[in-house]
Amino acid sequence: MECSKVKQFLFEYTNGDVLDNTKKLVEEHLQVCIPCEVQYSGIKNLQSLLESLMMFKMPTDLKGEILEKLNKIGFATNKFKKAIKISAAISGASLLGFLTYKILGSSRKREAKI
Amino acid sequence: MEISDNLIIKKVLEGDKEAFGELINKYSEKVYNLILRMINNSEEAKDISQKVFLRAYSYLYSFNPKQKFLTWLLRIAMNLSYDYLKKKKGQSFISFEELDFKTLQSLTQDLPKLDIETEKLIQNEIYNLKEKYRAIVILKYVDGLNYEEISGILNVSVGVVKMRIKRAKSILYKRLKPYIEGGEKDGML
Repeated sequence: MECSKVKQFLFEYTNGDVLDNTKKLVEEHLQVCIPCEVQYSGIKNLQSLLESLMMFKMPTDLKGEILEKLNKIGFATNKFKKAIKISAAISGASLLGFLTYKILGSSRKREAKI
Repeated sequence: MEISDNLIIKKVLEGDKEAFGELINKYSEKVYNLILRMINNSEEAKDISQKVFLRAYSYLYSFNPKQKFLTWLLRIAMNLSYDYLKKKKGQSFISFEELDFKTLQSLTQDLPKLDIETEKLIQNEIYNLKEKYRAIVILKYVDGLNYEEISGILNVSVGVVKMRIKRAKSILYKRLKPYIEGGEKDGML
């Protein structure tokens, strides 16, 4: 395998993301090619630097602050249910008004006929 | 025995707000570190982390239990980080805050694997990456997620995740070449 081809695979090779066939060819090349071996070492160093990055702790008591705020809010689903209840109540009231109007209207017509 | 996330979520949805604290304990560090390294501002990272958990709580009813809770949570964290960065881009004056690694390290009990100068150097280079590459590097190397999990968070295929990781590492490699290939590498690692 040529250097240009090997260099294309070096990142995947470091991640273990190459097929066995390619892995073997890259390995063989790295044993005899110093420039590619230098680049491979550099990529491995970069990988270990990235894997060594620190996981920082939160500076304050996040849990306490969030739980305090949770008491002031509800689930969005509750708000949604509330909105549905309100719209159902409005629709119910409108329907009731419409029916009352119709019933009164028809009884007035009946009275007029009589 | 560790209680599963789905069981905790069930308890929260049944009205046990305190149970949500268990999820905060479990995942706040991952959420905070993702945001911190994405936006490079420790104060804002704290506020956005709070927003992430408050939003997750509000929309917990829509969480699909077949999904991993952490993936869902980090997706919210990523979206809020993008919103913040978008808002910041719209501002005429953009300030670059250097993270105070000394303070950040002092709050952390774990022994640092890298010295402060190296942490600073790597973080600055990560922050200089385009957002799509920065996100991938943080999710993979800071939060330690696998390709499938990253694919779920960023809503891209596993193939795209692998391609972006390769691209991001190749950019970082070029920028950090003098340190990782040269004589200074022994001092860094």
